[in-house]
Amino acid sequence: MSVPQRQVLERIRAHTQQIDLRYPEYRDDLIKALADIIAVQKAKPSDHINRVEQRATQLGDLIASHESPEK
Amino acid sequence: MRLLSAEITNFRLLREVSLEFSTNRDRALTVIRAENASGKTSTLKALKWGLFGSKDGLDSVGERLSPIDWPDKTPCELRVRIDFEHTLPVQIDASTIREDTQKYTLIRKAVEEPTDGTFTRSSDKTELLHHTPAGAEPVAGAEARLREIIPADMRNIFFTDGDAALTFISADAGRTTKIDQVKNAIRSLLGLGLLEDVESALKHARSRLLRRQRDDAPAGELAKVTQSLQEKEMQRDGLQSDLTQARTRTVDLERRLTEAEKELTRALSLGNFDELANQRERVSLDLKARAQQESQLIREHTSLLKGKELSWGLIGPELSRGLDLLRQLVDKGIIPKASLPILRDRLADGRCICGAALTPGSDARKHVEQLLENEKLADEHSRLLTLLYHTADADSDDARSEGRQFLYISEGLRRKRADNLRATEDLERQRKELEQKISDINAVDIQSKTMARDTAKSSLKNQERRITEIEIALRSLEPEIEALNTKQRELRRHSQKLRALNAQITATEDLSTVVQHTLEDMQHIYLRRVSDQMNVLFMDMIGADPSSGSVYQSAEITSEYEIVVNSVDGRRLSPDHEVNGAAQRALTFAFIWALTEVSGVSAPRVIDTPLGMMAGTVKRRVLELIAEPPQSANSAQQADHQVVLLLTQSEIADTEDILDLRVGSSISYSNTEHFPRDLVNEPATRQPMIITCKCSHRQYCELCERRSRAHYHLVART
Repeated sequence: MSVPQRQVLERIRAHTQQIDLRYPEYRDDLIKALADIIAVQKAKPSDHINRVEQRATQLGDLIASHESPEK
Repeated sequence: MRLLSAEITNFRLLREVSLEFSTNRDRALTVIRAENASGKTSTLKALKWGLFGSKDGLDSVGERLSPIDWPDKTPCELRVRIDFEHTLPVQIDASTIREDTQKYTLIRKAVEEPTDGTFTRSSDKTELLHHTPAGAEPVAGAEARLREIIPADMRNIFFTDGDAALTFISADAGRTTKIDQVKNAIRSLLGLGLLEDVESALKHARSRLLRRQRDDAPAGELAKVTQSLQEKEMQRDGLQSDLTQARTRTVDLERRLTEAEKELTRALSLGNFDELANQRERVSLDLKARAQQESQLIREHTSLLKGKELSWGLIGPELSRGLDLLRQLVDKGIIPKASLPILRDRLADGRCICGAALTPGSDARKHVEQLLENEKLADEHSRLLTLLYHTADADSDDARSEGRQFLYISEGLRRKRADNLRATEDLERQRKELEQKISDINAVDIQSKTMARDTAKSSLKNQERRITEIEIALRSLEPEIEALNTKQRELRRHSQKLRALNAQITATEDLSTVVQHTLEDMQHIYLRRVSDQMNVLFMDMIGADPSSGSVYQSAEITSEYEIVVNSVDGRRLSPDHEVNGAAQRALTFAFIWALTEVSGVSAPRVIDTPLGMMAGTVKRRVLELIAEPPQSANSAQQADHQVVLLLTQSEIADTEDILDLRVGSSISYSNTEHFPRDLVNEPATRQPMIITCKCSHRQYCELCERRSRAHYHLVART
């Protein structure tokens, strides 16, 4: 991606450190999801709202898959 | 993004032009040398058209692009081919961002057909080829991919015309337009709009997920809690938005208050009216006393001139000389005369002092009688001289004394009158100064400035009160939201069915939080960084040192996105009419450079006529700054550093040594139509077109030799 550039990515990475770790690799997955969402938003296809939601729910599914039923 | 090469075909005078761009980081400059009307602006336009297309790359769609002498009703294919490479992050995780560089070829074509003074142009045909180890592969959705690589918003930042770039600071198009230009450029390069869109999309996604959650458990307590939570959160969002607005307004009011206080202080610094009037009164009284003193001195002077002292003073030297002569007569015994009584006594006695008898009728007696007659005649003169001697001798001391006294009194009076005149002049000057100060003081102005200050102070106080109220409301809302969140989490945990949905909502919320915080950083921290960096670059370019009292103390971007310059007397200068031409250009470049450096966006900077209107050290400093590798910590930006300058020879003059160190690629343009007036040698074709050669900024060859070459000390390229 060219915009936002590294500055934005650096800030995103810094702020993920303040997010609760839902499972061990959660922060990496969070960054990847955000990078994908930004790319979708930049390309702005006609269904971009749905695609942003899909990418967010994918991350949610990863959380759910790591949660034990009794949690 | 970094340009590698370009081919421009049938674009105005550029019928067939090939360009090789420097990719050397330390010699990142590509200089295209061209005189006026020799294709500089056409090159800039061709590159913009190639990269951004007819929609975004042209100033006007009604602009004809084909050569002006192209035959009527004959299709002309315009073509721009650009080879470039682009570095992008390919792997991002919590600890690393890995980047990869890929090569592309862009080909943009359109067909233009001139007909009877007008023309038609087909839509653009764009082809983007991605160079992979397997060969060049066409990229689907070329325009969209191009916009990802270099967004259209950035075209005026990276592709600038020296004059057009001034729109960032010039109010020719109106203050709002100027501010919008700066705002849009900053928002675009910092990616603010994109992040806001992402934030909005995530909020939208969360709302939909929450709605689904509510719909999935319509009668349950979770639905009620979720609804309450949503309401409270909306309330909080509203309050936070109000708080942001109130804080922005506070910053504005603080600035207004500072300005109002400065204005008032400046007005009051002219002086207090009553005090100045009192001073003027005192000075007037002193002047009156001086005038009286002068009259008195004149009277004394007149009296002195009428007195005997003046006479003595005037005749003193002559009197001394006369007295000396009389003394000589006394010394010689000429006066006083004593022989007359002796002669009479001798005649009465009948015997001369020599013992001879002076008998009547004797010769001796006749002789003495004759002597007596002679002496009688001379005695009247002698008597008068004797009288004069005694009188002068008696008065000579008085004369000397009176003469000296006259000189003494006269000198004293002269001094007193001179002192009085000086004191009077000084008082007159004081009175004039006081009157000027009094006339400078505008009581109405002070009153209005005081009112402006008080209004700003009062508004600020209200705003601060408002902020406190909002903060209190927010603080009281937070525990309610937290309690509802806790309740909601508890209820979610009990709902097996809603677990997946809950996790999705959690993920959306986490994503939103990160985006919100990033956006806040970009809005505040990075805007300040751009402003600070612009200030450093600007002050460096114009060689101003604030500590030594330079007129320009600093430059900044205000919270309203306006570029301003602060002066040594604390005023905020408008760059478009209170800053000189060279400093305006320096400020524009400082802004563009600061923005690109802070944003970390890597793209070539192509500038047409950057050094026009500049001379001397400012011109050299601007070029040094443009040419030097970026100080950015961003490796991609450092690696992609590339600057293409379209320069005239007069712009190059006096900067050759800098170009010697920084130019990695040189191209010279010559317009065939400039023969024979400017070009020395006849071109191979007389068709109006640009011919190119590889001459550097110090060279000339058979193709580009101009009659002015000796003036610029150019040497023949061998």
